[in-house]
Amino acid sequence: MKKTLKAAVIGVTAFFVSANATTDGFFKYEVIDALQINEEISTNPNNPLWEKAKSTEVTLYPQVSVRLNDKKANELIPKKEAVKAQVKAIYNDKNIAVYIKWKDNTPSVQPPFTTNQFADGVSIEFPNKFGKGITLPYVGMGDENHPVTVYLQKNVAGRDYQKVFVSKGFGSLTEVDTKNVDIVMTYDEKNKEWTAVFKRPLTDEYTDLKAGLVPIAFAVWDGNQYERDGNKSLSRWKFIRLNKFELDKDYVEYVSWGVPYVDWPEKGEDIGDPENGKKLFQQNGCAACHRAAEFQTAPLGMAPDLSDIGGIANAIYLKESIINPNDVIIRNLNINRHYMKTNPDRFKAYPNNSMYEWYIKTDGKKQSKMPAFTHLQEQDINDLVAYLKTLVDWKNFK
Amino acid sequence: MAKRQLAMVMDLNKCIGCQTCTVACKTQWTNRNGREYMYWNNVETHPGAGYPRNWMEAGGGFDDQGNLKDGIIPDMVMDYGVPWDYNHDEIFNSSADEFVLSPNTDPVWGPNWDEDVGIGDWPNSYFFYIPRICNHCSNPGCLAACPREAIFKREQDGIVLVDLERCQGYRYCIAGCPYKKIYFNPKISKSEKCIFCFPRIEKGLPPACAHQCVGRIRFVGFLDDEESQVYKLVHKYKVALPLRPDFGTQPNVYYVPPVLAPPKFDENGKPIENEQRLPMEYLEKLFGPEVHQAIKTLEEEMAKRERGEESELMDILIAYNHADMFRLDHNYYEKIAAEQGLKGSEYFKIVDVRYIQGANTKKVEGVFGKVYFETQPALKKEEENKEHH
Repeated sequence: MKKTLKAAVIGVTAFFVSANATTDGFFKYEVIDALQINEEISTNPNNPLWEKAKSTEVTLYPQVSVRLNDKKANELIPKKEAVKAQVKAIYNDKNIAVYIKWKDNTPSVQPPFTTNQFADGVSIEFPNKFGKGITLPYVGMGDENHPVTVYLQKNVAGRDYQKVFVSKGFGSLTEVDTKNVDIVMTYDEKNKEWTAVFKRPLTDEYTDLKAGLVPIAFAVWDGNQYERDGNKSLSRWKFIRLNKFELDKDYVEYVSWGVPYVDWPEKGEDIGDPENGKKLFQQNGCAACHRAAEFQTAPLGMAPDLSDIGGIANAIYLKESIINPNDVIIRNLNINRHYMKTNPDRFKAYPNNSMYEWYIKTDGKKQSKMPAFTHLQEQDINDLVAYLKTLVDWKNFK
Repeated sequence: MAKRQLAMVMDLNKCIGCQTCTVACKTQWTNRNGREYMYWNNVETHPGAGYPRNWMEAGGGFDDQGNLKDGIIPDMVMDYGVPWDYNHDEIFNSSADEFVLSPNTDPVWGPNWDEDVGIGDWPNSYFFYIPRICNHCSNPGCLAACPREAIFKREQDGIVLVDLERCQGYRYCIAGCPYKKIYFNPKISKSEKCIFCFPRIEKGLPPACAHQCVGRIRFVGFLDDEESQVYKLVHKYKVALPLRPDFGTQPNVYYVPPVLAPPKFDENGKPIENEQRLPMEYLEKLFGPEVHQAIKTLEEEMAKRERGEESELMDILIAYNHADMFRLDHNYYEKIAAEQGLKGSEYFKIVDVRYIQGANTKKVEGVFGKVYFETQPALKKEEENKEHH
């Protein structure tokens, strides 16, 4: 009885959603349809089961929001290409597995006796909490209000380098137990492709994925380009559709706000006018702190670089960042990177340059240094988001 | 920022390049567990490329505005040099004619590759030695570069350490250190560096490199202790200067610049009066513009002694006894430990067990059938745990 009733409810929801023109594209390009099965899920990517699961293309963009200090790695960034990955998902009563396949002509293993060679790697992350009324985390490993769980596989010689972390932003990864987690990463010499399968329980200590729409984000590392840590390519939040669970229409409306995205093959109507958005970007002084496209005058490290934010940030996240920057305070990259050349202490240590801190602390609570632009008209905000969504160029990275 | 700061002064006039410090450090800390190629202490010949090769050109440190600069990570083979062995067994256990002494790999660089090479033509060629350890900087480049914030500067004495639990082996620290004195351990995929022998320091003993120094060139003490010889050399007489102060990290290892160079000769082989064989521009590049005043002071004080007058500075540099050269404070650390409620072996709490693991652990084979490292106990445990799953 109960089962039939539930199925009917899902049917109605599905109807409602598909009746909406904007969500059509969202479900087509942003959502990974998971295949529900009854048998055990195989982590072998060549298992025939994976052929049955529907594949969705996900684009991963070079991370340029923060700049690290490896000279050789930085020199390669402007020449990088976005990575196109094929993603699938399968689930049963107990577990969920995510499959990701991407092209890499140079398979790299971190060897046992070198100092400057790096491993290819792949990771996926889930927000620890998501669903109706819960805002999306910062995609780069979460933020203090939004912890995420990260699964990582690296190709290191001599050992199976698998790790699971809970993270609240840069530098905050805490390793947690890998039991119940299985990750397989294999290279196909013929097609020059990596494939990885991540398998985990639907529910664990940190996350409950039993939901109609589960946010997930992807990252890959190319060891050949000195990639490790924040030096990687990443996707924006994508969503896994688990048919067995009810789809919350409010949540669909929330996460699909502001589509289409720049990497969609067919775009349709946008939420605003990017030309006007660009003017607003200038008028509101965004470029004083942020670098993006032709705006390259802000001091390096002053604020996140927005050069390819249109690829890695979800539209709703961009909107929230503009009107409510305190919701997602991104942890600074190590603040000791900048010091003020005044008032050294008696051991000649210079104090940190607070100009480069992204937040201030009042009564122990962090507040973003970015003011909330709540005074803007709704259409102006939409125009700004429409402009930010066009930003997918990292050729100016220095 | 540290409340106190330990410092070391090295008198380059007395360094004979014997590498005893290097060996003291190696046997104490770096002859095992993936650290074999590392020299937390090395002695290099200047002018020269040093160790790792051309470290002065490898970037890192801070620019004039106080912003961290990009750097590179030296290469194991080309810049550090792979440790190699000789075929002693073959030579000693068979007829010697059949074998020649040869290394088991074809080395292209090593920690003393350009030792005693120097620069210039006979009879005016010159060189001097610079022993180098981690500078335990007041604004460390390695610490600033770490996205994990895994590197910390101890409040009680300013010693810079890597928290091996937090380190994920990203190696930005190596790019960030302009002295390239932090190293990547490929065996454990983490960064490691000179720890200023802090377990010794806490017991009132100087670092092994300083204690073993044959030429007695090293002084160790707290920079805020006006009775210490390091204070007198650095602050009172201002004859001890940091290496490459332009790198912007405020090092806490100081050098008394070399003034006792042989004279320069003219075409007829006669010494030229008042001419230094070591070019002042080179010393200025290494030790900054203060080197002129430091050398003037040293020469004036030496002249005093020659006239039979008293000179406290010369007495210090003669290095009469260890008790004065090393002013450490065992009680100070006892007090801190008591405040933190630590006892006995808990002093080692911050140090990973890998540092105190004995040298006789079983050897393991590397992936290509070569014996690289000794068993790394933490890793072994990890593997055991995996098998249980």
